[in-house]
Amino acid sequence: MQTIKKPKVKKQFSVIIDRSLDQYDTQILSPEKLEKANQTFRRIGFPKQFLKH
Amino acid sequence: MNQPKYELKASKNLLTFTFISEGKRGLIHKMIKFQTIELNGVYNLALGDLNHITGEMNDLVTSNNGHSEKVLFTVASAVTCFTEEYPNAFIYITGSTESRTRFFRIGISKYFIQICKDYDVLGEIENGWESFEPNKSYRGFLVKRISINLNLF
Repeated sequence: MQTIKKPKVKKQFSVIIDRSLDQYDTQILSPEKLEKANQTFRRIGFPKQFLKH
Repeated sequence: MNQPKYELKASKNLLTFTFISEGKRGLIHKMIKFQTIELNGVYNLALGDLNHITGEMNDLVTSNNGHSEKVLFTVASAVTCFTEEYPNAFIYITGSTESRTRFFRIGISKYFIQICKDYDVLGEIENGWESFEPNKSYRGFLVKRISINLNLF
């Protein structure tokens, strides 16, 4: 069996790039939610179902 | 999914998205943010109202603008756009409240047949993860774009 990777074809989206939003990329705007996510992964770990990826 | 959605604006790195929800309570600026967590490769999806004056995002407020499904499709569109740029990313989705989590769960359940063609979706249970089952209650969701491979022979 031979597996080949299909060439990546980027889809076109109706998204407008707005450089004024770049400032938010590095800001943590919802720290409580982020901490909740961190706690979840500390508690139950990363799913083994995804370890194959 | 060709469903009505709001026009998205995005930062250059496609980590921050905004759109304006138009509904019975007027125009509400919404923000979707993909934030890295301490586990490498995992991004937390945050959705909230953007205060343009303070630059803060409120993810606890309930807009009740009457277009929740359109908002959901807009979020889905942002996820598609984000995963085109970051195909190996894992996206963790949970609501800031139980009703928000239910909102995501109902949306994923309703369109799961279409979603599962492009994404692997896991549901968070008390002690781990399981494959997502529509209409089952979960604490959160972990989503990964499926790599496209062609199997020959």
